[in-house]
Amino acid sequence: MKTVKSRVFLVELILVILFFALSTAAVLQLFMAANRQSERSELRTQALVEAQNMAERLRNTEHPQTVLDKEGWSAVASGPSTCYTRRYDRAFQPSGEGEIVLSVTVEQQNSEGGGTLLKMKVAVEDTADNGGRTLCSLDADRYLPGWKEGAR
Amino acid sequence: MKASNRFHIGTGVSSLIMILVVLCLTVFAVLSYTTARADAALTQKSLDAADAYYRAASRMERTLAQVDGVLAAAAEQAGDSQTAYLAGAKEALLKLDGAKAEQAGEGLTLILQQDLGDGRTLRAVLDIPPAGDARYRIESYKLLPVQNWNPDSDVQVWPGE
Repeated sequence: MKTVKSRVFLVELILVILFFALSTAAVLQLFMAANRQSERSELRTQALVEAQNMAERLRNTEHPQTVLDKEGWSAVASGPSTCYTRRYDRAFQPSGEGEIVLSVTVEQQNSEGGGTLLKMKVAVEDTADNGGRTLCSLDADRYLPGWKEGAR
Repeated sequence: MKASNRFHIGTGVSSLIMILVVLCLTVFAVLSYTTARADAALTQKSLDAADAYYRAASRMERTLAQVDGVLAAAAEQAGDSQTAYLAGAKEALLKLDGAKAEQAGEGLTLILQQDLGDGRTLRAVLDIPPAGDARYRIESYKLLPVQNWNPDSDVQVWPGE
């Protein structure tokens, strides 16, 4: 009688362990998905903060190209526009080998009023995510009037 | 008969414990995932709001470039006549999309608006002097709600006196 009871308990225990393993595997998938989602949200929020900081800096500078050149950003000219890039690690610290790329595209246009329209775009890209995924992109155009003393 | 003091787990107890543990794990996992989804939605909302603002601000800068061009052309046409300059400028500025120009003192006041599309609008008020070094001066640059706020006066509250 005792042996039968032990066998039943053993079979139950095996079934419990099997079911628990399967359930845990499914629940872990859900935990991992939540973690991935959370990490992505954090990265996008940080990207937005960095992009906004950069956009505000550029909008309050009369010569953004000079500022970016002085800070040692990598520049690539393409037609009328110039693309400045800088790499960051995932904690958004400047790093030459970083996976996050902050890029600033600047294009100058002369206006009919004699001023200059600076067309600027700030974008943050995660190069490690499926070969490149834009986390955030902001327009930061600025018009600089070209008034001279005594002229209207 | 002597009672046994040995600890004994009956059949089914382990199943019950397992069901309880799995249920708890499932609830925690679902809660984590729901929170993560809510965070992602909030992040997306912040991104959309920032994007809408910067797009509107960029459109405003392009409109300022247009205004500058219009004022330069009006000044060229009017020559030395301030009256002709202001009249020509007002007529040309009113043709700009969403612009409102009106006489204010000796000069003009120009109101430019850029809708953000989420219940907010970017509004710039420009002062256009009849003469001087600058063609315009930005008097105010504000982000405003599209709808006016109507306070609920149904509830009687202490006025403070």
